[in-house]
Amino acid sequence: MNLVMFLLTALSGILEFWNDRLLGFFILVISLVFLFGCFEKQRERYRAHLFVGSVLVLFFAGFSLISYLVSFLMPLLGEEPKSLTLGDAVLVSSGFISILNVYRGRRK
Amino acid sequence: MRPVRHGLCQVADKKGSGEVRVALVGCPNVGKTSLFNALTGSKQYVANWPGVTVEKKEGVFLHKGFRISVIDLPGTYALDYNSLDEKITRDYILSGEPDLIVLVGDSVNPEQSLYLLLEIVEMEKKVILALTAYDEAKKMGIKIDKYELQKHLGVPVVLVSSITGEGLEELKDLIVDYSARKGVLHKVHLDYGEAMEKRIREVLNNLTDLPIGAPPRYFAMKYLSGDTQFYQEALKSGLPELSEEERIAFKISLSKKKRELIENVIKEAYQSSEEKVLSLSEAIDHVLTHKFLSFPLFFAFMYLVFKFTFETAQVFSDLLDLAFTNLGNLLVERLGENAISSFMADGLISGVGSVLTFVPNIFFLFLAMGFLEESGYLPRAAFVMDRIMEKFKLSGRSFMSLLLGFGCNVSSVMSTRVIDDPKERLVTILISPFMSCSARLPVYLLILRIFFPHASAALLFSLYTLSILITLLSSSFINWLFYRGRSSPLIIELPRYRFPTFRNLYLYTWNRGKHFLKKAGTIILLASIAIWFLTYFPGNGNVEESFSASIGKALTWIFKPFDYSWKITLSLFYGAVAKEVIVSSITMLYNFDEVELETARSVLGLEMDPVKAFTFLVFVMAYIPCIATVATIYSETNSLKWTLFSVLYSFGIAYSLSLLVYKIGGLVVRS
Repeated sequence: MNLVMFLLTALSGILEFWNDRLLGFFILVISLVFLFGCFEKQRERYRAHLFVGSVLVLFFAGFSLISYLVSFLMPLLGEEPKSLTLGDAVLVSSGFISILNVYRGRRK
Repeated sequence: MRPVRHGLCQVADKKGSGEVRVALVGCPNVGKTSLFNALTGSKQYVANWPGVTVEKKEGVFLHKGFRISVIDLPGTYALDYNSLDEKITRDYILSGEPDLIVLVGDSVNPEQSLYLLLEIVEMEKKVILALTAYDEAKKMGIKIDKYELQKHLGVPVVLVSSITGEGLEELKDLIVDYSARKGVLHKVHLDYGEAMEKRIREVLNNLTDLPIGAPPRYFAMKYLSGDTQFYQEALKSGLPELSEEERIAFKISLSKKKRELIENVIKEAYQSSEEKVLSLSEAIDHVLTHKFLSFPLFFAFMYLVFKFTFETAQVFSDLLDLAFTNLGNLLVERLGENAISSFMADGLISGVGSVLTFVPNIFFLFLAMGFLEESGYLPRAAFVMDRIMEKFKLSGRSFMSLLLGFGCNVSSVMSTRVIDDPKERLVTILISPFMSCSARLPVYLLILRIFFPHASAALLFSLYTLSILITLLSSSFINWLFYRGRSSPLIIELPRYRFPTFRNLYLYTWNRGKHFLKKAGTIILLASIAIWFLTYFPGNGNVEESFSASIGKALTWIFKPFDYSWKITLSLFYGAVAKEVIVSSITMLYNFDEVELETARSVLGLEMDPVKAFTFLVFVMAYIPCIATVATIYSETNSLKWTLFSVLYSFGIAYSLSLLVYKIGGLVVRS
């Protein structure tokens, strides 16, 4: 699962990189949490990487979603609302998978 | 270790007194403030200590006809008189002012709290042990036998949860019940073994008077273990000098015996139903304090915080700005263009409103920081940063103080009291003003939105990173200049990770954010009135013929190398009072509304290009601390020399750094 999450997060990091360099870079940093997790031999530590990485993805995905929702207030200022980019969409999808990982991680 | 012997319980009614003073004592991060809030509700207020300006909280609640004042003392791991917090807590306990002490301990990790408890027990004070986070202990499968704890420690024990409210009524009942009795309820005599007891007896036999007012046995033990205060007092009262080796050996033995007792007590009273290889906190720590990941993850968190502060909050700021602009326009429409409408619209609404529009950004910043602090991440950040801080002659403890500077430099300077080493404390005080406080945020946001609309969040992040860098480099420089010393090691108990509760987040955000609102209603309001007056008269609205113009033009020589106009120079001059005033000054002097970015860009663009604008921000980031911070530095260092040093040094750094940015930026743009 760490590998799947790494690939998904790295993909959204690369896609975000074109819109916002720093945001993309830090999402790539988060993907490293999963990558390091792939090399953990102890089961508990493997799970720890998956759990923490998923929480971090949730933060970033949550931020993207909140920013998107808040932008619906922008017409009040005479501006267009924000549109979701492909990077945002992949990030939010990773966020949904992360919810499952966090839920399972807490139970264990 | 021999078992604890319980003394006589003398009980008598406390007549004629319906008031009780309760002191909350405990290690940092055990949930002391949460318990304080749960007990006192909304009646809490923040007061200063007499003589010293440590922030303590005092709240009141009524229970069974008693008016109970609760004093939340600074969190401390021991009562050794090394740091200011330890001194204040111990002096207060020994003063006899509190009728009762509630030792707040952590249900899950009670070791250090019990250590603190034993010390207070030896002071022969009435004490109740309140073990907090009982709900978490239960969730973790920990069973606590409070009667077993009571039996061994000789003090009443209550298991409480500030979140669920469990045990709170029991604690209140106990406070009332104990306060209605006289004398020490549980006189405990810890037996330290024949050799140590003999030494204590010898000292007691030679003890003629007690200058501090502590129990003789406690005084003797403190003297033998070389406690700074008690040892000096003992020498004055005629007791012989002890070798350093003897004092250290006694202190170690004392601590060892107490630890043994605590270990035995916990073994008897605690039962854990499950044995996990890694707890949730340990699992999270495995990643967040990882050798390679910890630093980049810390910066990722910080970036997200600033992105959240700038981007998400910005829509709300713009809406507020629009409201203030419309209000101003409406007033001018109704009253016509005259001095009164100008005062109302340009002075009051534009001056205060231009600052108030940043309230959402500031509250969002505190909300994000509160989340990190409440979750337990920030102490880890201090732990992670300790490795870097050591290179700059600081410790992770300084980092914790410095982080507070993101909110307000005054609290950052005051929080240095927990730093034991006086040199490290002084250096931390002197570098604290470089941490970019929330008052500077409105200035950054105003200029970034006007000149760098597409890279605002990234540049905001870079300004904050630069402020951390300047802070650390300044520490190295000041250390090199005056001390050439080493930093003290960081000893910190890492709290468990918790999901922040809504109530705690609200309290954190509101308590810090209201400071900004208060300033807007006082200093900034007064400053706006003063600036409007100076800008309106004597030219009747013509800025170029105003008092402000005369002052600004007289000061332009200071910023000649930057080619700043008199208006920009004047805004920096006014900003010395409080940094937010820079925003009020700019909007009044240039007469624009922030919401009209194009207008603002065209007006400011005549005198500033992007390089000059960023140079201006770098200057604002580093230049002299506001008046409140300067006053706090003076009261904390008690030295005019260090206060002046702080002002001149920060001005020098700001000037040199922005000149460097201006020159390099100019070269880059021209090429």
